[in-house]
Amino acid sequence: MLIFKMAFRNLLRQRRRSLLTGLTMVIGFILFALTVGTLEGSWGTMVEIITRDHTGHAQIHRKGYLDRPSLYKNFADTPELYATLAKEPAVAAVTPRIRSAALAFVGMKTTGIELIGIDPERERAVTRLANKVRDGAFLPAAAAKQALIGRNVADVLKAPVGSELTLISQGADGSVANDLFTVAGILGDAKDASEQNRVYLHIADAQDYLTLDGKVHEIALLYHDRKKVEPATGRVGAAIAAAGFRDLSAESWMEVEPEFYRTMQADKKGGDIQMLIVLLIVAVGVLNTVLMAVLERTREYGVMAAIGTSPRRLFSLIVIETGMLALLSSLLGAFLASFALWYFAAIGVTYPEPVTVAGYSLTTLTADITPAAYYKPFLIIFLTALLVSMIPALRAARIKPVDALRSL
Amino acid sequence: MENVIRIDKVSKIYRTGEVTVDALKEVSLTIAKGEFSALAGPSGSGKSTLLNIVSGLDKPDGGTVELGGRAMTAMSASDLSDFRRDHIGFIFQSYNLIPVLTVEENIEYVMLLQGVPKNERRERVAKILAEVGLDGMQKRLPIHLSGGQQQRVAVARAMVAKPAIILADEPTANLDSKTGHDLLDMMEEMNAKHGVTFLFSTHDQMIMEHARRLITLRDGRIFSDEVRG
Repeated sequence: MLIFKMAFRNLLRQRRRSLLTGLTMVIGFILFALTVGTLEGSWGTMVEIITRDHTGHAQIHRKGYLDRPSLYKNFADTPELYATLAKEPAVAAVTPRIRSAALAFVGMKTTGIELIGIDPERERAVTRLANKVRDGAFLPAAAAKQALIGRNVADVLKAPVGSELTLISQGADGSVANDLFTVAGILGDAKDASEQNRVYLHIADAQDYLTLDGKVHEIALLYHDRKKVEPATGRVGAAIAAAGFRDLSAESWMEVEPEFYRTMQADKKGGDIQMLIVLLIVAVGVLNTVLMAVLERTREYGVMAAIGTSPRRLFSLIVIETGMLALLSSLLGAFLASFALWYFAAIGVTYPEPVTVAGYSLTTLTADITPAAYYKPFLIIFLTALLVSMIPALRAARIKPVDALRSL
Repeated sequence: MENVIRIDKVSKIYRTGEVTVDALKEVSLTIAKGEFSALAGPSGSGKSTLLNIVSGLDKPDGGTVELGGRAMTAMSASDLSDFRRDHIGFIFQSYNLIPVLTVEENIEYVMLLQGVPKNERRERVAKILAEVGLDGMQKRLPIHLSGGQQQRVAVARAMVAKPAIILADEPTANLDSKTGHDLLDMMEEMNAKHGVTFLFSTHDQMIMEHARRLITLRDGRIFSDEVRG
């Protein structure tokens, strides 16, 4: 244990230098932790917005629907299908939907809209769409020829709650779909980019309107654990295939919203570059300190080698010394980073303008306090310090006592 | 008497650019067990070079060195390191204690490298501390000791590992004459009491007077080899 004592006492010899190097590592740790925490937090928030406001954690479609959505790529949401999904332990709730495009009219004004048919009760269990109603009310449980419209649709058509909305589209039987609906509620505000041009109908109204005859385009799934989306979706896909629904496939939200997912992955890579810069600063700081220490102690190491200290022991002494500094700095860094992470997690920093990614808006920079926000900085700082210290440690291990003893 | 060191036709050449200096020219010498000998000579005579070669810190360009019957010149760097640890004690001019270790830890250090059990280490440290007159100072760091006290610790460190020979390079050079004299008395006493072999490299008249054998080097050769009573 003497080697640990020596390493620790060596740290205290040049206190100011050790302190500065330690501070570099502490600051590096905090920056690392914040980068990991805010990346996880912001993207976690965005994923939560996307999945809980709209997509769910996964969806079931006819095979190929996502590549080329079509009114005709529909399927029957049979009780057997729901029973199969209900048997999956990962699945918390499901809701069927219909999707199409239409033209919406109010008086002489018209606009193109994204038409979505939903089951109001089931939708409540999967998404938070009902919470986004700003004016009027959510759709009633039973079909009543009512519509929920996005804020932009309401503004363009000048359609307040209670207005008569005419929708024109194409039915699945080739006929022109044309019907009147009453505006029950208006969704979101001007800042909510996702709901702007959507019109929601009761699924039964939508099936009737589009002559879909009880068919749907998708079933959105909510899982108990959003962090296990991919394995859960794999299991759901296998289960529905095994139950005989071979023309259906289960896709995770990453496949449903590929543009958003790619943007998220690219931003995370950007975070990696940020971390690499911090890593380089830490590495240079550590290298400089340890190299200086080895140069200053050349004679001492020479004496130690002369009296029989093996090169391996000298090497270990220096690496242990650096490892101890990295460990202590990481502990302090983790302690201080906790405050910063807590602030971002509990309060966050509001963006001057909402950040819109792939049609979804983020208003606050937040952090997630996850184990990764601690173990990633620790591993990277600790391993970098150890790795970098090996260069001067090798130098010390190769010291020739006869030369070192001549040095001042 | 049994020879501890046998040096046979050892040469050492230093090259600096195009200049070559023959530091040692076919020096042959034996040191017997229990000797209290000194290598003397003016600067550049080769005494430090010879001491470095005897200690295995440097390699000769020619000739052989045997310590306790083992040819040091044939050993690898790693073997030499182990060999020094187990068979040679060092006393340096500048004491060269490990500054972050206390007196007892400095003394214990070589035994730790040798793998001596903890209890035995502690016993030997306590005993040698009493012998070198540093009882009660075991917890002090070298920085809190005088030069004489530091050199006593160095002697204790060299002695405690029970080496075949102690090589002392100008051990009194940094001490005042009284302290130097006391230290030399102590080493002489240890030599007499424990039969430890000492080989000094020195300019110090006092050591030359106390040495029972005085080997004088000049220009890389043994100029004289005088054995006293």
